Amino acid sequence: MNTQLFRGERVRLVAPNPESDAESVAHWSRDSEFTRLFGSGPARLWTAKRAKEEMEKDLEKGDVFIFHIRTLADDRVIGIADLDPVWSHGDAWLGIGIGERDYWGKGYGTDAVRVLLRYAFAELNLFRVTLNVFEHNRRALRSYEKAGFVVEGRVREVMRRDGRRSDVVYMGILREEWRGRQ
Amino acid sequence: MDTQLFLGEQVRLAAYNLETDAEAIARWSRDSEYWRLVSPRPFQPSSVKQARQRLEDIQPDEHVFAIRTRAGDRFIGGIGLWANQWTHGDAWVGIHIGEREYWGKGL
Repeated sequence: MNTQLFRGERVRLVAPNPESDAESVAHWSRDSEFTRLFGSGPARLWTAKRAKEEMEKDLEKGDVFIFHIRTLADDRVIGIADLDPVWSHGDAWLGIGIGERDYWGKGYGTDAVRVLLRYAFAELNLFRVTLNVFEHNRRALRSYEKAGFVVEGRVREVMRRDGRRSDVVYMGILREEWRGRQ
Repeated sequence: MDTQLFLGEQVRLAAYNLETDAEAIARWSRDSEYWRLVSPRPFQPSSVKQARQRLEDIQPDEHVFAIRTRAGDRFIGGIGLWANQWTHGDAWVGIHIGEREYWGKGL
């Protein structure tokens, strides 16, 4: 039995380290293509100091499981991932972002999602995991499908960027669906 | 043009009255059928003090209103718009009718 819960094939999940990781997070915030795929709020620029303060604030939220993603090959911080459980219903929100562009489209994100799902079902004993994704983020949609998520619904034309409106897609995976894939 | 923005056919939207509305909200919170329809959180009644505190904590950017009947001016529920996505032109609406006798009547 593999008990290395936080280790995947290409990445591992680590505790966010405000000292060593703030510069990376600030660096990602300067890539507005990344921030616009990652969040619906207006793109903002963060200094390393601000990133460090936000990270420290997040670490005090005991009820959200927040990780940073490091490559196994060279131990580089490439992104962030979190699970926010709704305990009484056995559900959790999953969030993930790969900030380092060199690692886009190469399976690092999918690997991190698989590690998060194993943590959600094998450790937290959740019943399902939920996420949402912008419909124009094809790379993410494809990655979530590879990890076992299915589309459950969409919020129509809820976003407007560059003069175009687009949907937000809701996806989910049930415990039995995850188990069937192991 | 009708400029009475807060007036409907059977109800009107009003500002919350801290003195009188907290008692009704606390009473509704003891109705577990109501609670479980309104919230995904585990059932937990709130005291008048807690209900009042929540009303006091309402922020200027939360567009929330008390719902009052036009006939009798009774406080029966609440409604709000949370426009937390200004740049996308979207808002969440939330509504609850706490007084059971006004359920299913189109108010």
